[in-house]
Amino acid sequence: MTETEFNAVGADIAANAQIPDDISADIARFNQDGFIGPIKLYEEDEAAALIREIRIRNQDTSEALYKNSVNYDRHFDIPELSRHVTHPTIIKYLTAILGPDVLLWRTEWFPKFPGYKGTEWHQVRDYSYASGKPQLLPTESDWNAYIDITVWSTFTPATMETGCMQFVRGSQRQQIFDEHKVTESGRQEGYDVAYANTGFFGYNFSDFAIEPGWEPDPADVVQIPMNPGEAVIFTASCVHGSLPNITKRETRFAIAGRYVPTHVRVYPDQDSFTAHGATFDLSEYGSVLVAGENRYDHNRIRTANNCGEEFRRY
Amino acid sequence: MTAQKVHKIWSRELDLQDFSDDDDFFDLGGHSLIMAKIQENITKELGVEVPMDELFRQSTVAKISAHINSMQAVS
Repeated sequence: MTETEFNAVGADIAANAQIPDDISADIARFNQDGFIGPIKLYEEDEAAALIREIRIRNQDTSEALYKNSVNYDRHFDIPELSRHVTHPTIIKYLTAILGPDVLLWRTEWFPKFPGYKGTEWHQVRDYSYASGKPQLLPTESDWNAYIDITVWSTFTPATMETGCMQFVRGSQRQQIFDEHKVTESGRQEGYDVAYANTGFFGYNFSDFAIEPGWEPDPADVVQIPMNPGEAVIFTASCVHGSLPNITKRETRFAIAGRYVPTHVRVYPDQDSFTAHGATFDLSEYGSVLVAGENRYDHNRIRTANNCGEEFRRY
Repeated sequence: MTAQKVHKIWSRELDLQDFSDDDDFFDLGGHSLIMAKIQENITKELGVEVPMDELFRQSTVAKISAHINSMQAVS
C-alpha cells in the first residue's frame, strides 16, 4: 500500500468500510455468549497502515488529554483513532445491542510485547476496581449486562502465540468477581504499566474473586484468534482475559473502545481518578456521542478532537 | 559510517544479526520499548538526540542514518 493509498484509508474510514447487511444472528449469539467476533473492519494492509501511523503519532503526546504514560483516550489527539472509534460497522453492532443513543466513553491500548504474560481472568461492570469508585452509573435501569460494551480491535495478528483474547462463555450472568473489594495494587501512583509484573496491568485481579482460586470450566472457555483488522465485541461483565505472547518478535497490538448508552453517567462526581499507577485529570474530558441523540445533561460531551476534527455521528 | 553504527545498535537492541539497512523496524519485531533503548544508544554513541516520532517515521537503518546525517550537517 502506498502512502497516498494509506492516507485515503486513514482519512475516510467510513467510505472504505464493509458493513454487513444482516447481523441478527450475531446479536443473538452475543446475547447468549456475552461476546461476538471476529468481525471484519479493515483489510489486513489497511490495518497495518493504520497501526503504523498510530504508533508513530503516539510519540507526540503534546495534544494528549492526560499527562501520563497510560494511553487512555488517545482518540482526542490521534485523528486515525478519532475515525476508527466511529467505524460504521462498529456503530451498527453497538446500536443493535445498546439502542440508538450511544456514547464512546473511553479508548485504551492493549499492546502485548514478545514475552509478556497473559492477562488474567477478569470481569468488570462499573470499573470500580480501578479506583474504588464506580466510573459508570446507569440512571434509567437496574444493572444489566449491557450498560457498557467494549469493541476490541486488533491491528496485528492476535493468535494463540501472540496473545489472543479468551472468554468464559455465558459468564456475564454470574458474579464471579466483586470489583468493590478493597485492594492496594494498581490504585496507587507509582506502578508503571509497561513493566508491572502482575496479571492485570498493575493489579492482581484475583484479589477481587468472590471465591478464592476460582477457575472456569474448561468447556466454557473460548479463545478468539483474530486477523489484523478484526474486532471482537463483548460486555466486560463476561469473564475474559488473554493468552501470553510467547513469540520472540511479534507484538500484538489491539485498541479497545468502550461505549455506553446515554443514560449512563460517566465518571460520576469525579474531577480526576487514579488507576493503573497514573492520575487522570478529567478537566478536558468529555464523552463522544457516536450515534443518536443525547437527551441527558449529566455527561459533558466532546464534539471534536484536540486537533479540531469533528467526531462522526450516526 | 553513520549507517554502520546505527545498524550495530539495531542489531544489539533487536537481538538480530541478519537484516538489511532497508528492513523496516516494525517488520523486524521492533516496538516502543526497544526504540527507547535505540534512541538512548544513538544519543550516547553518535551524539545526536533524535526525537522518538522521527525514529518511528524513519523506520529503517538507511532512512534514520540519512536523517542523522542531515541533523549533524545542520548543527
